[in-house]
Amino acid sequence: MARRTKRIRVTVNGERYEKEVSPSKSLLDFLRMDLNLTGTKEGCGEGECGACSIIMNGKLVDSCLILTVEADGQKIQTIEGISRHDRLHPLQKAFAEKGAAQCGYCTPGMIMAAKYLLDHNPSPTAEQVLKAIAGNLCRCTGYGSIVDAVLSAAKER
Amino acid sequence: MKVVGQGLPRVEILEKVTGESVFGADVRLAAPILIGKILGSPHAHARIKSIDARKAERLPGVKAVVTAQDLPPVKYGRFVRDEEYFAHKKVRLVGDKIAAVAAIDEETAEEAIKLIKVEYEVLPHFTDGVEAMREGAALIHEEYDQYQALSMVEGRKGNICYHKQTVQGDTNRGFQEAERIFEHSFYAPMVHQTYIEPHAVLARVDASGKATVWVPTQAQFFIRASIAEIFQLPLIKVRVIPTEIGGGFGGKMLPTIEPAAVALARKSGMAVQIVMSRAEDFQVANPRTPCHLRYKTGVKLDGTIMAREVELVFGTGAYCGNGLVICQRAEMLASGPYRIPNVKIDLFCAYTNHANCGPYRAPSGPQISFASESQIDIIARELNLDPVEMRLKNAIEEGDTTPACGGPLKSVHAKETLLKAAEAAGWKERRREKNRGRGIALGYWLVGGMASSAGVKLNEDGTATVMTGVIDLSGTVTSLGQIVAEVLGVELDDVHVRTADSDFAPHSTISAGSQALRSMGSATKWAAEEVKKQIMEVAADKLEAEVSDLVVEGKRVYVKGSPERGLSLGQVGQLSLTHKRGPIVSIQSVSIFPNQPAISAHVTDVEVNPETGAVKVLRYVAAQDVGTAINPLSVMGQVQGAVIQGLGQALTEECIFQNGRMINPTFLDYKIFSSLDAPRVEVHLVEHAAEDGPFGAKGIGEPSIIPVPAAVANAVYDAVGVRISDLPLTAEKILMAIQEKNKSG
Amino acid sequence: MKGIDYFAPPRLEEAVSLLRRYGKKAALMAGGTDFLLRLERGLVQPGVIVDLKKIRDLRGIKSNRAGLKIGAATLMDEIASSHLIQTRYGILAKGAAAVGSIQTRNRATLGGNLCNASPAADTASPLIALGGRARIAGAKRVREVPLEEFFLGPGKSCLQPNEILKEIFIPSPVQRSAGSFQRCTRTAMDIALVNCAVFLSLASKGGVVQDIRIVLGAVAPTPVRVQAAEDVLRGKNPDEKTIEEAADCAAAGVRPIDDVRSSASYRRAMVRVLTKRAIEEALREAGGEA
Repeated sequence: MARRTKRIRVTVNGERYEKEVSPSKSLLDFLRMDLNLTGTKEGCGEGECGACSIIMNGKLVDSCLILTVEADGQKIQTIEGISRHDRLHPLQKAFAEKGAAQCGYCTPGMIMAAKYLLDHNPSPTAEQVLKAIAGNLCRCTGYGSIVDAVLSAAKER
Repeated sequence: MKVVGQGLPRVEILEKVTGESVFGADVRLAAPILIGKILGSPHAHARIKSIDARKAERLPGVKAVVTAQDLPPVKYGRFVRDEEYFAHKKVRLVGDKIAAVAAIDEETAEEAIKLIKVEYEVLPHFTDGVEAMREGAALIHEEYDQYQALSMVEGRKGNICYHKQTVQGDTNRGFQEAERIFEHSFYAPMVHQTYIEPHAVLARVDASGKATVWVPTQAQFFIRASIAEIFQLPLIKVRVIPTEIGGGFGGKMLPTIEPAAVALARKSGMAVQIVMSRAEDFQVANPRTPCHLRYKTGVKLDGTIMAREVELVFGTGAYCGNGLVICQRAEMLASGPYRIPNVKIDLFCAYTNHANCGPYRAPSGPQISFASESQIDIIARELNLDPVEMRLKNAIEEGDTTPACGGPLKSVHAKETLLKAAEAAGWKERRREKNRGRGIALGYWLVGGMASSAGVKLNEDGTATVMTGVIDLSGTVTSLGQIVAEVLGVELDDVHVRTADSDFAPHSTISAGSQALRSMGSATKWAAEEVKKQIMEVAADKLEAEVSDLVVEGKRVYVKGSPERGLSLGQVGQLSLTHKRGPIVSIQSVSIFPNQPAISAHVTDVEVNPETGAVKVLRYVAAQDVGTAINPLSVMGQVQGAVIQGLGQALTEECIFQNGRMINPTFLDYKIFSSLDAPRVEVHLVEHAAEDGPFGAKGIGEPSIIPVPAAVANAVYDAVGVRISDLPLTAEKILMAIQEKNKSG
Repeated sequence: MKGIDYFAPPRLEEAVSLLRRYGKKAALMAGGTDFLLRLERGLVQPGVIVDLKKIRDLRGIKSNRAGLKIGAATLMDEIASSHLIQTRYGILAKGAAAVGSIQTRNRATLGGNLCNASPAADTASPLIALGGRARIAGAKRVREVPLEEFFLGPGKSCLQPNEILKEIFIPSPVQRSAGSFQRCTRTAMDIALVNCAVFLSLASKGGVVQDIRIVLGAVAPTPVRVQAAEDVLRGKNPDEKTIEEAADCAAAGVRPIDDVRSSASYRRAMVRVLTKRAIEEALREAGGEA
């Protein structure tokens, strides 16, 4: 069968892209393969682990369960877009200092989830942090240091 | 000490928090990359009647299809040579590899896989070790007698891959001397390491026939050796480039998809990437061995343990793989951290029709502790003894031995660790509340050291570079940097340390067994000390002083008592290039060194809902004997993370099989803890510099997972009076046990 | 998955005519959190995806005297965090909040949750308990179906091939009414092993139950009302014994199965526990006092 493609326009981390994509390609694959933004990870491809979390039009979403064509006309932010050059986002700094990243594979998604929380609730409680990252699995830290990091970043901001 | 003992952020942390780190599936090349897929068997046990891949080969976009015919006819295996990379006569597990394809994109590769036709004759299968061991059971390896194996592989018979009996003292006499004898059976199911990064690999074979493999692995030299063996290549024709690794926990040591990627790359002449789906990873990637455990323990009425007999049956999977690592460990750990005069341990490792099982964080530790420490709890209650007192009475001390531990044990702090946990938890001051309970358990682990080498060089500006091939799982690499900084009197920022690949790194130990820092740290420390000597040698000439009068400190080397008479390390680095001895560099090696116990003691408070059986962990206290904490931030992180994983094993995690297939290979149905399930872990370190190990460090990556299931099981019993003997302690099992108990009054 | 075409029409009529044009080849998608999983696993193999998210008429929460209208493509998170729904239709807000992670709730839609027709859908039980009605758009007209008749079996709803779920209507709750939503899971983030929604109203004075709906999820091929259990309570001023009788009745009235998540017998036991809890909580809330 002939392969159909669709033309989409999308803004990722402030850069505008216009690309031909297959309608069945996931947004995660598009970011990682077509744009080489490999900071966003695949952990399950089923919307259970949150490693592929990005912010699209202001909402935290799992990019593995979105088709690239659905992102037409949308604004996307990935882990690569939250720091500029050597200026780290307070969350990135806090994750580094508090030991909130061990293997680091869940970290980009985790930071995006935390950023989404702080964007909406600048001074969360520990419980709110736990809820906000409930869709992001971490197998290394046991989550305590992540909560510490998010609370510390909230104070910094 | 200035740098050692500091809780410094990991050296690679900025790459991780910015998303720059390159993990297995993140490697990109200038040349195009094909996508590889593997055809796995749909049956747990079957004879292959025919394989026809012609249609797949003809599909447009397919660049290579490989089967057993494309590889040398080699049987390989670390302990037993029982595995051929691609099955061609028989498949022995769901997912057993039959063929692989490489295509221009994932969709084409998947379509090609579907076009490969395989005819099977289905055979009876076993996913339980005890069943597989029964007389007359269908053989999983008919020619097992003829396979080559290491000489340690004893007791081979039928589906029994390995059987070993270890005896210390005389258990018959011990049971005669005992006043009470207790016998219990336990079961710990298969669980999966579930690192968040699934297995991934990229391979390329160049014009000279050299294979380069980018892979997240805990053991780059294992992977190199395995690929070389499977393809019958000299080691210099295989280069393994370890990427950043998104968790391993024992599951990323042996080759899984790497040889397929190499075979496809060789046949297609292009680079090939294979990334496992989460479901494939669950189904085939070296999960933890399921285990039946039987404990018979004889005691005096005062709680003194007189004798212990242990029988363990592990279902190792379709191939032996790394399965005997678990047995070797179990032999050392089975009797627990106790001084027991009479011990007999029977270890069985049976072939079964599921994935090759292997190590998972503290191999055999949590299973053994679950059985052993549950039983100690039962005994203490029966004898009306305080569980802490009973353990104190029997705990090992300096100079004691336990079976297969390798001689009198040094740096033993079992009692202190136990008391620290009990005290921190307020063991004696507790108040009884309905449906709430408290449990305690000990964990026994032995950390040794393995053959390793590492190098240190002084750069011309006074900074230092560490040459190591060790994989960074638990912060090891940062700790190596701290060790070098400490020895050379510089800051961690003045030391560059990252994992080099197999072509350039001196042979480094695997990152497993909690021994990586002890082994690599020792080699690195010696290399740094040698570099320091060389620094002083060069400086002594220039300063016209005796080497013995020099001090290296604060990024300088100077004459003792007159700091102005000195040189910066940068000046020394420069001078060395014209000095008669040449550039300053050293590579040092260490060999195996003796085991030391790394004891864990955990206390947990739980609440059990009597209507649903659900367990809520209210409090968790973990004391850990760590020797010297080279980096307390890393150490605390390891303990906390291990406890939460252990809670998963205790309460929710289990690979469930039906017809030889795992039926919950998703995060939806294989339940690991989320942030909302995980309690805060209160960590207490017991720090005494150990006899061996750099600056007295013991291993820290694994031990803290060991006592968790037992501590929880003991707490659940304390709360509602039911004893669950098979993990995990699901709400359903607890509720049924409560109802059963209520029925029987 | 090759050769799939994708449309995101801005108007409902266009979506309906795409369905007519492509027939069985077409698949409807809203949030995609469930649909894309099935696509990835090869459980659906459509030639055309019709994305409903761009259709304005399918989005939003509107309330008037008669009740509440929720567009089928309204996000789960909008429902969970709507103040109006939290205060007036609290069990629906709780059901929506129980669906997956925040990432999922930011994509998943109410219509998607219902049209997947999973017996465990966490918005279905509350909506049935609240007397919700599905408004379904076809080629010619919009028809209305009580939600309890919407589900036919696992993955099967009463939607005809050319129809699209347009919105859900929930009648305004009467005086002295309240509900409760309960669920039982293995870990905090989990699909429900069992869920239970109760919505009841009391007589103008006292504690007599005027009307009640008890709905259970994940214990039958569809979410189910257990009318026998409702009958135990209707017209009575329930004491603990009556409540237990109703809970027993609920447990006897369901047909749970054994699966990888739970045994049937545990599910049945949980039906009893959750039903009791839900009735007790609803009574407390409706009476204003325990």
